[in-house]
Amino acid sequence: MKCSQVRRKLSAYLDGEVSERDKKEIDGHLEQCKGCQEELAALSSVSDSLGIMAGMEPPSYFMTRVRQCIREEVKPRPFLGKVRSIVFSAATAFAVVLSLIIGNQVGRILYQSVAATGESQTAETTDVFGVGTLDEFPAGSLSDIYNELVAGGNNG
Amino acid sequence: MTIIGTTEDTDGHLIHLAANGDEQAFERIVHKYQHAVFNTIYRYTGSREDVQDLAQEIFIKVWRNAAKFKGKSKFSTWLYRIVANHCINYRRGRRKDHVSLDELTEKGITPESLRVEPDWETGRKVEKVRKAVDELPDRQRMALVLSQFEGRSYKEIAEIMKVSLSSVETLIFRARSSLRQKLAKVV
Repeated sequence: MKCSQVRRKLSAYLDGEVSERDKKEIDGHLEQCKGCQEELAALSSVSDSLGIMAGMEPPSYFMTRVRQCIREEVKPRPFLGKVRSIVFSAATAFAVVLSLIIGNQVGRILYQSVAATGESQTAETTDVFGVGTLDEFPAGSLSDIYNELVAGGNNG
Repeated sequence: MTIIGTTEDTDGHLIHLAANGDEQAFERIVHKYQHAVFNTIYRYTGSREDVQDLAQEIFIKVWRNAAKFKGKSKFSTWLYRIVANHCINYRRGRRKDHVSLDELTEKGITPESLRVEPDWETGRKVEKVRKAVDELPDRQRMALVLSQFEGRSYKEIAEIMKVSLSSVETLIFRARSSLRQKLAKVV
């Protein structure tokens, strides 16, 4: 093994994670190579210095906290959960279809009634705003004078 | 019902009982693994304040997903996978609000995790080591914590992190090489 190959494996070598064959090769290389020995010492020193990082103990009440949480959890039984899910889906689909049918019927009824009242309203509108009605302006009003002028113009 | 000290009292059996709503079985799991979970979270995040909340979230996740454990891997591997994913997601979420350690130091704020020990020299070393570990990329840090502190084998780390064995080797090698440079003056 070359130095570059050995150095890439030194970390795993330190952790005892190389194959027997690699271990023998690395051992043999290290006996002869001072540079790789120093590299190994440096990596080993890094591992040692990490040991300074303390861990953290769980507080005594942690279990109580977790227990409270899981008791608050509602855990439906698998079968009931599935049935509930199917019933909910079916009910939702039924509600959507029903609302479409009702909406369609209501829309149709409204359209028909509007169409019926629309015809009579058109007739009334003609009566109210018909030309005959608009002809009768108060005597002397601007509209009356205009009408007379127009009528005179037409006649003569 | 759990039977202590028999072959039935295995992690797989306990988690199966927990999946069927056995709180006592679940508590045995929590009791057995809470130290490992706390230590992994703390060494990975470096945040003493958040460890309890994260550990609680992880155990709740275990409780909710107990039925999903099929016994294809060791229970500890399955649990560490939940821990690793939860921690990495937590860190990624926090990075949005990230304030560098240098900025904190400039403002005179020392995070709990960096608070110096009574022994000033030791405290200074701890601070530097924590800072160096904190600066490692997520996956390098997780692989290093699982190997160095939790004593997990490379094979198990590969299963936990869902990567190849050679990737684990590279992650840990890079983590150590990086730490070696950063800690040159401390070591």
